[in-house]
Amino acid sequence: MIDFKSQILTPVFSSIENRASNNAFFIDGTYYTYRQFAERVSAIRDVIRAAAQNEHIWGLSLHDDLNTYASIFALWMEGKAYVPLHPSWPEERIASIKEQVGCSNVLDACDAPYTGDLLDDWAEASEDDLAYILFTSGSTGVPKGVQLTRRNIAAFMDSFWKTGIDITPEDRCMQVFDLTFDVSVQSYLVALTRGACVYTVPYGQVKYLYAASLIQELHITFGAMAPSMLTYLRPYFEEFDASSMKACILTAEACPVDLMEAWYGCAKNTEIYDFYGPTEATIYCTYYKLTRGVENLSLNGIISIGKPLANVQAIIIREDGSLVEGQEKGELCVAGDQVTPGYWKNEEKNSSSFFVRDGVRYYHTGDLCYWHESGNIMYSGRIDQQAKIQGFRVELGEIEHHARTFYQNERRVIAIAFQNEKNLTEIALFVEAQQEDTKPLVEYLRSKMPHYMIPTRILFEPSFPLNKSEKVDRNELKKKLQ
Amino acid sequence: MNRNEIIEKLTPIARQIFADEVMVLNDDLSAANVANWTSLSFMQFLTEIENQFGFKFKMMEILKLQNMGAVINAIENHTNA
Repeated sequence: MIDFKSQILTPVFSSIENRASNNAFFIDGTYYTYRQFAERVSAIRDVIRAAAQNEHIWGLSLHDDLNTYASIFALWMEGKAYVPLHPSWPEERIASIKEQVGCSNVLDACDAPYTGDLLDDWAEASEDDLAYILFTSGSTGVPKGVQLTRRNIAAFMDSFWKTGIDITPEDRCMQVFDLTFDVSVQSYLVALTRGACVYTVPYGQVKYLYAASLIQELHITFGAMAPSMLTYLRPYFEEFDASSMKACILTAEACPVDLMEAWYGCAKNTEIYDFYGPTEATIYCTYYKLTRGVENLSLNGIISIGKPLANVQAIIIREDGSLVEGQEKGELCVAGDQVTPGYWKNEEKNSSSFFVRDGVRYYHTGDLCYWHESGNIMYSGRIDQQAKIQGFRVELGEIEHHARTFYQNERRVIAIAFQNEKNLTEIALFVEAQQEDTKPLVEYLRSKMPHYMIPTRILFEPSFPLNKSEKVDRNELKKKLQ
Repeated sequence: MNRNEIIEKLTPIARQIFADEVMVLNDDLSAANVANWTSLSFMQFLTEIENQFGFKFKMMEILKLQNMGAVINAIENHTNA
Protein backbone atom coordinates (compact mmCIF):
# COMPACT_ATOMS: atom_id res chain seq x y z
CA MET A 1 0.00 0.00 0.00
CA ILE A 2 1.30 3.45 -0.91
CA ASP A 3 0.65 5.74 2.03
CA PHE A 4 2.61 8.23 4.09
CA LYS A 5 3.05 5.88 7.00
CA SER A 6 4.46 3.01 4.97
CA GLN A 7 6.56 5.17 2.64
CA ILE A 8 7.94 7.73 5.11
CA LEU A 9 7.27 7.32 8.82
CA THR A 10 7.72 3.56 9.20
CA PRO A 11 11.02 3.40 7.25
CA VAL A 12 12.49 6.41 9.12
CA PHE A 13 11.54 4.96 12.51
CA SER A 14 12.84 1.60 11.44
CA SER A 15 16.17 3.36 10.78
CA ILE A 16 15.98 4.84 14.30
CA GLU A 17 15.20 1.46 15.91
CA ASN A 18 17.61 -0.68 13.97
CA ARG A 19 20.50 1.71 13.40
CA ALA A 20 20.44 3.93 16.47
CA SER A 21 24.20 4.34 16.60
CA ASN A 22 24.59 4.99 12.85
CA ASN A 23 25.04 8.55 11.69
CA ALA A 24 21.85 10.20 10.47
CA PHE A 25 23.27 13.67 9.75
CA PHE A 26 26.54 15.45 9.14
CA ILE A 27 25.84 19.13 9.74
CA ASP A 28 28.50 21.84 9.70
CA GLY A 29 31.29 19.48 10.69
CA THR A 30 29.40 17.42 13.31
CA TYR A 31 27.91 13.93 13.02
CA TYR A 32 24.57 13.14 14.72
CA THR A 33 23.34 9.58 15.17
CA TYR A 34 19.84 8.27 14.58
CA ARG A 35 19.55 8.05 18.39
CA GLN A 36 20.32 11.78 18.76
CA PHE A 37 17.88 12.54 15.96
CA ALA A 38 15.17 10.51 17.74
CA GLU A 39 15.71 12.40 20.99
CA ARG A 40 15.29 15.76 19.26
CA VAL A 41 12.13 14.52 17.49
CA SER A 42 10.73 13.38 20.86
CA ALA A 43 11.53 16.69 22.60
CA ILE A 44 9.94 18.73 19.81
CA ARG A 45 6.81 16.56 19.85
CA ASP A 46 6.42 17.59 23.50
CA VAL A 47 6.52 21.25 22.45
CA ILE A 48 3.95 20.73 19.70
CA ARG A 49 1.59 18.88 22.03
CA ALA A 50 1.90 21.61 24.67
CA ALA A 51 1.13 24.48 22.29
CA ALA A 52 -1.82 26.60 23.36
CA GLN A 53 -3.10 27.10 19.84
CA ASN A 54 -2.40 23.77 18.28
CA GLU A 55 -3.03 24.61 14.64
CA HIS A 56 -2.58 22.13 11.79
CA ILE A 57 0.02 24.21 9.94
CA TRP A 58 3.13 25.37 11.76
CA GLY A 59 5.74 27.81 10.61
CA LEU A 60 9.26 26.35 10.52
CA SER A 61 12.10 28.83 10.72
CA LEU A 62 14.88 27.23 8.72
CA HIS A 63 18.37 26.64 10.03
CA ASP A 64 20.97 24.15 9.02
CA ASP A 65 20.71 22.26 12.30
CA LEU A 66 19.45 18.97 13.70
CA ASN A 67 16.46 20.65 15.38
CA THR A 68 15.11 21.93 12.08
CA TYR A 69 15.14 18.45 10.51
CA ALA A 70 13.76 16.91 13.72
CA SER A 71 10.96 19.50 13.73
CA ILE A 72 9.76 18.31 10.33
CA PHE A 73 9.39 14.72 11.56
CA ALA A 74 7.92 15.79 14.91
CA LEU A 75 5.23 17.74 13.06
CA TRP A 76 4.54 14.85 10.69
CA MET A 77 4.26 12.38 13.59
CA GLU A 78 1.75 14.74 15.19
CA GLY A 79 -0.21 14.71 11.93
CA LYS A 80 0.70 18.31 11.18
CA ALA A 81 2.20 20.28 8.31
CA TYR A 82 4.95 22.87 8.07
CA VAL A 83 5.48 25.99 6.05
CA PRO A 84 9.18 26.89 5.69
CA LEU A 85 10.17 30.44 6.62
CA HIS A 86 13.71 31.47 5.77
CA PRO A 87 15.38 33.88 8.22
CA SER A 88 17.15 35.61 5.32
CA TRP A 89 13.87 36.50 3.59
CA PRO A 90 12.57 40.06 3.94
CA GLU A 91 10.37 40.37 7.04
CA GLU A 92 7.49 41.51 4.85
CA ARG A 93 7.60 38.26 2.88
CA ILE A 94 7.60 36.13 6.03
CA ALA A 95 4.71 38.17 7.48
CA SER A 96 2.76 37.81 4.22
CA ILE A 97 3.16 34.02 4.25
CA LYS A 98 2.22 33.68 7.94
CA GLU A 99 -0.81 35.85 7.40
CA GLN A 100 -1.91 33.91 4.31
CA VAL A 101 -1.63 30.58 6.12
CA GLY A 102 -2.87 31.93 9.43
CA CYS A 103 -0.22 30.16 11.47
CA SER A 104 0.70 31.59 14.86
CA ASN A 105 2.98 28.72 15.93
CA VAL A 106 6.55 28.79 14.64
CA LEU A 107 9.28 26.30 15.48
CA ASP A 108 12.56 28.20 15.45
CA ALA A 109 15.70 26.18 16.26
CA CYS A 110 13.59 24.45 18.94
CA ASP A 111 16.03 23.22 21.59
CA ALA A 112 13.45 22.05 24.15
CA PRO A 113 14.93 19.58 26.66
CA TYR A 114 14.63 15.84 25.99
CA THR A 115 12.49 14.25 28.69
CA GLY A 116 11.96 10.79 27.26
CA ASP A 117 11.19 8.93 24.06
CA LEU A 118 8.06 9.84 22.19
CA LEU A 119 8.54 7.80 19.07
CA ASP A 120 5.35 5.79 18.74
CA ASP A 121 1.75 6.90 19.22
CA TRP A 122 1.62 8.60 15.81
CA ALA A 123 -1.34 10.90 15.40
CA GLU A 124 -4.11 9.71 13.14
CA ALA A 125 -3.97 11.64 9.88
CA SER A 126 -5.68 11.43 6.53
CA GLU A 127 -3.69 10.99 3.34
CA ASP A 128 -5.35 14.21 2.21
CA ASP A 129 -3.93 16.17 5.15
CA LEU A 130 -1.18 18.59 4.27
CA ALA A 131 2.48 17.69 4.87
CA TYR A 132 3.96 21.04 3.86
CA ILE A 133 3.24 24.22 1.94
CA LEU A 134 5.98 25.74 -0.19
CA PHE A 135 5.65 29.36 -1.20
CA THR A 136 6.97 30.26 -4.63
CA SER A 137 7.22 33.49 -6.53
CA GLY A 138 3.86 34.97 -7.60
CA SER A 139 3.44 37.35 -10.53
CA THR A 140 1.16 39.69 -8.53
CA GLY A 141 3.90 40.33 -6.00
CA VAL A 142 2.31 38.04 -3.41
CA PRO A 143 4.01 34.64 -2.95
CA LYS A 144 1.73 31.70 -3.76
CA GLY A 145 1.57 28.60 -1.59
CA VAL A 146 1.71 25.14 -3.15
CA GLN A 147 0.01 22.62 -0.85
CA LEU A 148 1.50 19.12 -0.71
CA THR A 149 -0.40 16.35 1.04
CA ARG A 150 0.76 13.18 2.71
CA ARG A 151 -0.59 11.30 -0.31
CA ASN A 152 1.55 13.45 -2.64
CA ILE A 153 4.76 12.73 -0.69
CA ALA A 154 4.00 9.00 -0.41
CA ALA A 155 3.31 8.75 -4.15
CA PHE A 156 6.55 10.62 -4.87
CA MET A 157 8.59 8.31 -2.67
CA ASP A 158 7.10 5.23 -4.33
CA SER A 159 7.84 6.72 -7.77
CA PHE A 160 11.39 7.53 -6.75
CA TRP A 161 12.30 4.00 -5.73
CA LYS A 162 10.78 2.66 -8.93
CA THR A 163 13.43 4.53 -10.95
CA GLY A 164 15.89 1.89 -9.77
CA ILE A 165 18.09 4.16 -7.65
CA ASP A 166 19.04 2.16 -4.60
CA ILE A 167 20.28 3.63 -1.33
CA THR A 168 21.66 1.51 1.51
CA PRO A 169 22.55 2.35 5.14
CA GLU A 170 26.20 2.63 4.05
CA ASP A 171 25.47 5.51 1.69
CA ARG A 172 26.54 9.10 2.24
CA CYS A 173 23.84 11.32 0.75
CA MET A 174 24.29 15.02 0.07
CA GLN A 175 21.60 17.64 0.80
CA VAL A 176 22.64 20.88 -0.87
CA PHE A 177 19.28 22.55 -1.27
CA ASP A 178 17.66 25.27 0.74
CA LEU A 179 14.77 23.80 2.76
CA THR A 180 12.38 26.24 1.04
CA PHE A 181 13.04 24.29 -2.15
CA ASP A 182 11.42 20.89 -2.57
CA VAL A 183 14.45 18.94 -3.84
CA SER A 184 15.64 19.26 -0.23
CA VAL A 185 12.72 16.98 0.75
CA GLN A 186 13.94 14.30 -1.67
CA SER A 187 17.49 14.77 -0.42
CA TYR A 188 16.76 14.05 3.24
CA LEU A 189 13.92 11.53 2.76
CA VAL A 190 15.88 9.23 0.45
CA ALA A 191 18.66 8.96 3.03
CA LEU A 192 16.61 8.75 6.23
CA THR A 193 14.12 6.18 4.91
CA ARG A 194 17.07 3.87 4.09
CA GLY A 195 19.12 4.45 7.25
CA ALA A 196 21.83 6.39 5.41
CA CYS A 197 23.54 9.63 6.47
CA VAL A 198 22.49 13.10 5.22
CA TYR A 199 25.39 15.51 4.60
CA THR A 200 24.09 19.08 4.52
CA VAL A 201 25.52 22.30 3.12
CA PRO A 202 25.37 24.98 5.84
CA TYR A 203 23.71 28.32 5.13
CA GLY A 204 26.15 31.15 4.57
CA GLN A 205 28.42 28.97 2.45
CA VAL A 206 29.05 29.12 -1.28
CA LYS A 207 27.13 25.96 -2.08
CA TYR A 208 29.09 24.63 -5.01
CA LEU A 209 32.38 24.89 -3.13
CA TYR A 210 31.07 23.23 0.02
CA ALA A 211 29.34 20.50 -2.01
CA ALA A 212 32.54 19.82 -3.95
CA SER A 213 34.53 19.48 -0.74
CA LEU A 214 31.92 17.08 0.68
CA ILE A 215 32.15 14.94 -2.45
CA GLN A 216 35.91 14.98 -2.63
CA GLU A 217 36.84 14.78 1.06
CA LEU A 218 33.93 12.85 2.63
CA HIS A 219 33.30 10.62 -0.38
CA ILE A 220 29.62 11.31 -0.96
CA THR A 221 27.93 8.42 -2.75
CA PHE A 222 24.62 10.01 -3.80
CA GLY A 223 23.28 13.51 -4.27
CA ALA A 224 21.05 15.79 -6.27
CA MET A 225 22.52 19.00 -7.64
CA ALA A 226 21.54 21.83 -9.93
CA PRO A 227 23.53 21.82 -13.21
CA SER A 228 24.70 25.39 -12.47
CA MET A 229 26.69 24.05 -9.51
CA LEU A 230 28.66 21.88 -11.92
CA THR A 231 29.03 24.80 -14.33
CA TYR A 232 30.78 26.76 -11.55
CA LEU A 233 33.08 23.80 -10.93
CA ARG A 234 33.78 23.01 -14.57
CA PRO A 235 37.06 24.99 -14.80
CA TYR A 236 38.39 22.61 -12.12
CA PHE A 237 36.98 19.32 -13.46
CA GLU A 238 40.44 18.00 -14.34
CA GLU A 239 41.37 18.03 -10.66
CA PHE A 240 37.95 17.03 -9.29
CA ASP A 241 37.58 13.44 -8.11
CA ALA A 242 33.90 12.52 -7.76
CA SER A 243 34.49 8.81 -8.26
CA SER A 244 32.88 8.01 -4.87
CA MET A 245 29.46 8.92 -6.29
CA LYS A 246 27.43 5.92 -7.42
CA ALA A 247 24.44 8.01 -8.50
CA CYS A 248 23.93 11.69 -9.15
CA ILE A 249 20.73 13.55 -9.97
CA LEU A 250 20.82 16.77 -11.96
CA THR A 251 17.65 18.77 -11.46
CA ALA A 252 16.01 22.16 -10.98
CA GLU A 253 17.36 23.58 -14.24
CA ALA A 254 17.77 22.55 -17.84
CA CYS A 255 20.65 20.08 -18.06
CA PRO A 256 23.27 20.83 -20.80
CA VAL A 257 24.54 17.74 -22.60
CA ASP A 258 28.12 19.02 -22.97
CA LEU A 259 28.32 19.68 -19.22
CA MET A 260 27.24 16.10 -18.54
CA GLU A 261 29.86 14.70 -20.92
CA ALA A 262 32.52 16.69 -19.07
CA TRP A 263 31.08 15.62 -15.68
CA TYR A 264 31.51 11.97 -16.63
CA GLY A 265 35.26 12.58 -16.49
CA CYS A 266 35.07 13.37 -12.74
CA ALA A 267 32.15 11.13 -11.84
CA LYS A 268 33.81 8.02 -13.21
CA ASN A 269 31.65 5.46 -11.39
CA THR A 270 28.40 7.42 -11.39
CA GLU A 271 25.01 6.79 -12.90
CA ILE A 272 23.70 10.21 -13.92
CA TYR A 273 20.01 11.09 -14.01
CA ASP A 274 18.21 14.21 -15.22
CA PHE A 275 15.08 14.71 -13.12
CA TYR A 276 12.40 17.26 -13.99
CA GLY A 277 9.39 18.46 -12.09
CA PRO A 278 7.43 21.45 -10.84
CA THR A 279 6.74 21.84 -7.10
CA GLU A 280 3.06 21.32 -7.95
CA ALA A 281 3.77 17.69 -8.89
CA THR A 282 5.87 16.97 -5.78
CA ILE A 283 9.56 17.39 -6.51
CA TYR A 284 9.98 15.37 -9.72
CA CYS A 285 7.59 14.00 -12.32
CA THR A 286 9.83 12.78 -15.16
CA TYR A 287 13.38 11.45 -15.41
CA TYR A 288 16.00 10.46 -17.95
CA LYS A 289 18.89 8.15 -17.16
CA LEU A 290 21.98 9.10 -19.12
CA THR A 291 24.14 6.44 -20.74
CA ARG A 292 27.89 6.79 -20.73
CA GLY A 293 29.69 6.60 -24.07
CA VAL A 294 26.68 7.05 -26.34
CA GLU A 295 24.81 10.06 -27.65
CA ASN A 296 22.13 10.91 -25.11
CA LEU A 297 18.81 12.31 -26.24
CA SER A 298 18.93 16.11 -26.35
CA LEU A 299 17.33 19.17 -27.92
CA ASN A 300 19.35 22.35 -28.55
CA GLY A 301 22.06 20.96 -26.29
CA ILE A 302 19.64 20.23 -23.41
CA ILE A 303 19.15 16.65 -22.17
CA SER A 304 15.67 15.14 -22.58
CA ILE A 305 13.52 15.24 -19.43
CA GLY A 306 12.69 11.60 -20.12
CA LYS A 307 9.63 9.60 -19.18
CA PRO A 308 6.99 10.11 -16.47
CA LEU A 309 7.60 8.60 -13.03
CA ALA A 310 5.49 5.61 -12.01
CA ASN A 311 2.75 7.68 -10.31
CA VAL A 312 2.60 10.43 -12.94
CA GLN A 313 0.54 10.63 -16.10
CA ALA A 314 1.73 13.11 -18.72
CA ILE A 315 0.08 14.60 -21.79
CA ILE A 316 1.13 17.37 -24.17
CA ILE A 317 -1.63 19.66 -25.37
CA ARG A 318 -2.22 22.45 -27.84
CA GLU A 319 -3.57 25.86 -26.83
CA ASP A 320 -7.11 24.65 -27.50
CA GLY A 321 -6.64 21.72 -25.11
CA SER A 322 -6.44 18.99 -27.76
CA LEU A 323 -3.57 16.50 -27.71
CA VAL A 324 -0.59 17.19 -29.95
CA GLU A 325 0.27 14.74 -32.70
CA GLY A 326 3.65 13.28 -33.59
CA GLN A 327 6.50 15.55 -32.56
CA GLU A 328 4.36 18.69 -32.43
CA LYS A 329 5.21 21.01 -29.54
CA GLY A 330 2.69 21.85 -26.86
CA GLU A 331 2.30 22.36 -23.14
CA LEU A 332 3.25 19.50 -20.84
CA CYS A 333 0.46 18.70 -18.36
CA VAL A 334 0.72 16.15 -15.56
CA ALA A 335 -1.73 14.19 -13.43
CA GLY A 336 -1.70 11.56 -10.69
CA ASP A 337 -1.26 11.23 -6.95
CA GLN A 338 1.80 13.47 -6.90
CA VAL A 339 -0.17 16.50 -8.12
CA THR A 340 -1.00 19.11 -5.49
CA PRO A 341 -4.62 19.66 -4.45
CA GLY A 342 -3.98 23.31 -5.40
CA TYR A 343 -2.64 26.66 -4.29
CA TRP A 344 -3.43 27.85 -0.81
CA LYS A 345 -6.62 29.95 -0.86
CA ASN A 346 -6.10 31.08 -4.42
CA GLU A 347 -9.19 30.19 -6.41
CA GLU A 348 -8.22 32.29 -9.40
CA LYS A 349 -4.89 30.54 -9.81
CA ASN A 350 -6.43 27.14 -9.08
CA SER A 351 -9.01 27.51 -11.81
CA SER A 352 -6.40 28.58 -14.37
CA SER A 353 -3.68 26.05 -13.44
CA PHE A 354 -5.68 22.81 -13.25
CA PHE A 355 -8.20 21.19 -15.58
CA VAL A 356 -10.07 17.92 -15.89
CA ARG A 357 -9.82 15.82 -19.03
CA ASP A 358 -11.60 12.47 -19.35
CA GLY A 359 -12.17 12.47 -15.59
CA VAL A 360 -8.46 13.04 -14.79
CA ARG A 361 -7.26 16.25 -13.13
CA TYR A 362 -4.16 17.74 -14.77
CA TYR A 363 -1.75 20.54 -13.88
CA HIS A 364 -0.52 22.98 -16.53
CA THR A 365 3.28 22.97 -16.13
CA GLY A 366 3.79 25.97 -18.44
CA ASP A 367 6.63 24.04 -20.10
CA LEU A 368 6.82 23.72 -23.86
CA CYS A 369 7.63 20.12 -24.80
CA TYR A 370 7.18 17.42 -27.41
CA TRP A 371 7.21 13.63 -27.50
CA HIS A 372 10.30 12.05 -29.00
CA GLU A 373 9.60 8.87 -30.97
CA SER A 374 11.31 6.91 -28.18
CA GLY A 375 8.56 7.99 -25.76
CA ASN A 376 10.83 10.49 -24.00
CA ILE A 377 9.78 14.09 -23.49
CA MET A 378 11.90 16.84 -24.99
CA TYR A 379 11.97 20.18 -23.17
CA SER A 380 11.87 23.28 -25.33
CA GLY A 381 11.46 26.21 -22.90
CA ARG A 382 8.81 28.10 -20.96
CA ILE A 383 5.46 29.22 -22.30
CA ASP A 384 5.14 32.01 -19.73
CA GLN A 385 7.49 34.50 -18.11
CA GLN A 386 9.14 32.25 -15.57
CA ALA A 387 12.82 31.65 -15.01
CA LYS A 388 14.88 29.28 -12.91
CA ILE A 389 17.62 31.02 -10.95
CA GLN A 390 19.97 28.71 -9.05
CA GLY A 391 17.11 26.21 -9.13
CA PHE A 392 14.55 28.62 -7.66
CA ARG A 393 11.49 29.34 -9.73
CA VAL A 394 11.09 33.04 -10.33
CA GLU A 395 8.09 34.84 -11.84
CA LEU A 396 9.59 37.71 -13.79
CA GLY A 397 6.24 39.44 -13.25
CA GLU A 398 6.91 39.59 -9.51
CA ILE A 399 10.19 41.44 -10.06
CA GLU A 400 8.45 43.83 -12.46
CA HIS A 401 5.64 44.37 -9.96
CA HIS A 402 8.02 45.45 -7.20
CA ALA A 403 10.11 47.61 -9.55
CA ARG A 404 6.99 49.34 -10.87
CA THR A 405 5.82 49.95 -7.31
CA PHE A 406 9.21 51.49 -6.50
CA TYR A 407 8.71 53.92 -9.41
CA GLN A 408 5.10 54.53 -8.27
CA ASN A 409 3.87 53.08 -11.57
CA GLU A 410 5.34 56.02 -13.45
CA ARG A 411 7.91 54.01 -15.41
CA ARG A 412 7.74 50.89 -17.51
CA VAL A 413 9.99 48.05 -16.43
CA ILE A 414 10.77 44.71 -18.06
CA ALA A 415 12.56 41.78 -16.38
CA ILE A 416 14.33 39.39 -18.72
CA ALA A 417 16.09 36.13 -17.96
CA PHE A 418 19.21 35.55 -20.04
CA GLN A 419 22.13 33.13 -20.26
CA ASN A 420 25.48 34.66 -19.44
CA GLU A 421 28.76 33.69 -21.12
CA LYS A 422 29.09 30.71 -18.74
CA ASN A 423 25.60 29.53 -19.74
CA LEU A 424 24.16 30.42 -16.32
CA THR A 425 20.80 32.14 -16.00
CA GLU A 426 20.75 35.72 -14.75
CA ILE A 427 18.00 38.34 -14.55
CA ALA A 428 18.26 41.77 -16.13
CA LEU A 429 15.83 44.57 -15.37
CA PHE A 430 15.23 47.23 -18.02
CA VAL A 431 13.84 50.56 -16.85
CA GLU A 432 12.36 53.06 -19.30
CA ALA A 433 14.22 56.14 -18.12
CA GLN A 434 17.48 58.02 -18.37
CA GLN A 435 20.46 56.47 -16.58
CA GLU A 436 20.40 57.04 -12.82
CA ASP A 437 21.75 55.60 -9.57
CA THR A 438 20.38 52.07 -9.12
CA LYS A 439 21.16 51.72 -5.41
CA PRO A 440 17.76 52.94 -4.04
CA LEU A 441 15.94 50.56 -6.44
CA VAL A 442 18.15 47.60 -5.49
CA GLU A 443 17.70 48.30 -1.78
CA TYR A 444 13.94 48.45 -2.24
CA LEU A 445 13.89 45.17 -4.19
CA ARG A 446 16.00 43.54 -1.47
CA SER A 447 13.40 44.53 1.12
CA LYS A 448 10.73 42.70 -0.89
CA MET A 449 12.31 39.61 -2.44
CA PRO A 450 14.84 36.86 -1.67
CA HIS A 451 18.40 37.42 -2.90
CA TYR A 452 18.11 35.10 -5.88
CA MET A 453 15.34 37.29 -7.35
CA ILE A 454 17.36 40.51 -7.34
CA PRO A 455 18.38 41.41 -10.93
CA THR A 456 22.12 41.16 -11.52
CA ARG A 457 21.95 43.80 -14.26
CA ILE A 458 19.85 46.96 -14.37
CA LEU A 459 19.77 48.84 -17.66
CA PHE A 460 18.10 52.10 -18.58
CA GLU A 461 16.54 52.79 -21.96
CA PRO A 462 15.06 56.22 -22.79
CA SER A 463 12.24 54.45 -24.69
CA PHE A 464 11.44 50.76 -25.06
CA PRO A 465 11.31 49.18 -28.55
CA LEU A 466 7.83 48.01 -29.58
CA ASN A 467 6.81 45.04 -31.70
CA LYS A 468 4.11 44.96 -34.38
CA SER A 469 1.43 44.52 -31.71
CA GLU A 470 2.62 47.74 -30.05
CA LYS A 471 3.83 45.74 -27.07
CA VAL A 472 7.29 46.12 -25.58
CA ASP A 473 9.58 43.98 -27.72
CA ARG A 474 11.29 41.73 -25.16
CA ASN A 475 13.39 40.09 -27.86
CA GLU A 476 14.88 43.44 -28.90
CA LEU A 477 15.67 44.26 -25.30
CA LYS A 478 17.23 40.84 -24.83
CA LYS A 479 19.60 41.50 -27.76
CA LYS A 480 21.09 44.38 -25.75
CA LEU A 481 22.30 41.84 -23.22
CA GLN A 482 24.53 40.01 -25.71
CA MET B 1 53.07 41.26 -3.44
CA ASN B 2 52.48 42.07 0.19
CA ARG B 3 49.10 41.99 1.86
CA ASN B 4 48.48 45.73 1.60
CA GLU B 5 49.30 45.76 -2.11
CA ILE B 6 46.96 42.83 -2.66
CA ILE B 7 44.12 44.52 -0.75
CA GLU B 8 44.63 47.73 -2.74
CA LYS B 9 44.38 45.85 -6.04
CA LEU B 10 41.59 43.54 -4.85
CA THR B 11 39.30 46.22 -3.41
CA PRO B 12 38.00 47.68 -6.72
CA ILE B 13 37.42 44.13 -8.02
CA ALA B 14 35.44 43.15 -4.91
CA ARG B 15 33.48 46.42 -4.93
CA GLN B 16 32.47 45.91 -8.55
CA ILE B 17 31.63 42.19 -8.32
CA PHE B 18 29.77 42.41 -5.00
CA ALA B 19 28.08 45.69 -6.05
CA ASP B 20 29.20 47.62 -2.99
CA GLU B 21 30.98 50.88 -3.81
CA VAL B 22 32.21 51.42 -0.26
CA MET B 23 33.22 47.85 0.63
CA VAL B 24 36.27 47.77 2.90
CA LEU B 25 38.06 44.45 2.72
CA ASN B 26 38.70 42.51 5.88
CA ASP B 27 39.44 38.85 6.57
CA ASP B 28 35.94 38.06 7.92
CA LEU B 29 33.91 39.04 4.83
CA SER B 30 32.09 35.96 3.52
CA ALA B 31 28.83 34.65 2.06
CA ALA B 32 27.40 34.85 5.57
CA ASN B 33 27.74 38.64 5.84
CA VAL B 34 27.97 40.04 2.28
CA ALA B 35 24.56 40.22 0.62
CA ASN B 36 25.87 39.74 -2.91
CA TRP B 37 28.37 36.99 -2.11
CA THR B 38 26.56 34.29 -4.07
CA SER B 39 27.71 31.28 -6.07
CA LEU B 40 27.54 33.34 -9.27
CA SER B 41 29.32 36.45 -7.97
CA PHE B 42 31.98 34.40 -6.20
CA MET B 43 32.77 32.52 -9.40
CA GLN B 44 33.04 35.89 -11.20
CA PHE B 45 35.26 37.15 -8.39
CA LEU B 46 37.65 34.20 -8.78
CA THR B 47 37.77 34.62 -12.56
CA GLU B 48 38.55 38.33 -12.23
CA ILE B 49 41.26 37.63 -9.66
CA GLU B 50 42.84 35.09 -12.02
CA ASN B 51 42.76 37.63 -14.87
CA GLN B 52 44.08 40.58 -12.86
CA PHE B 53 46.72 38.76 -10.83
CA GLY B 54 47.80 36.41 -13.61
CA PHE B 55 47.51 32.92 -12.09
CA LYS B 56 45.03 30.04 -11.93
CA PHE B 57 43.52 28.70 -8.73
CA LYS B 58 43.68 24.97 -8.07
CA MET B 59 40.56 22.96 -7.18
CA MET B 60 41.83 22.19 -3.68
CA GLU B 61 42.47 25.90 -3.11
CA ILE B 62 39.04 27.15 -4.08
CA LEU B 63 37.42 24.62 -1.75
CA LYS B 64 39.11 26.41 1.16
CA LEU B 65 38.18 29.96 0.11
CA GLN B 66 35.45 30.48 2.68
CA ASN B 67 36.19 34.13 3.45
CA MET B 68 38.12 37.14 2.18
CA GLY B 69 41.06 36.35 4.45
CA ALA B 70 41.50 32.99 2.74
CA VAL B 71 41.24 34.63 -0.69
CA ILE B 72 43.93 37.18 0.21
CA ASN B 73 46.18 34.42 1.60
CA ALA B 74 45.79 32.40 -1.60
CA ILE B 75 46.70 35.42 -3.75
CA GLU B 76 49.69 36.08 -1.51
CA ASN B 77 50.89 32.49 -1.96
CA HIS B 78 50.57 32.67 -5.74
CA THR B 79 52.10 36.10 -6.26
CA ASN B 80 55.05 35.31 -4.02
CA ALA B 81 55.64 31.83 -5.42
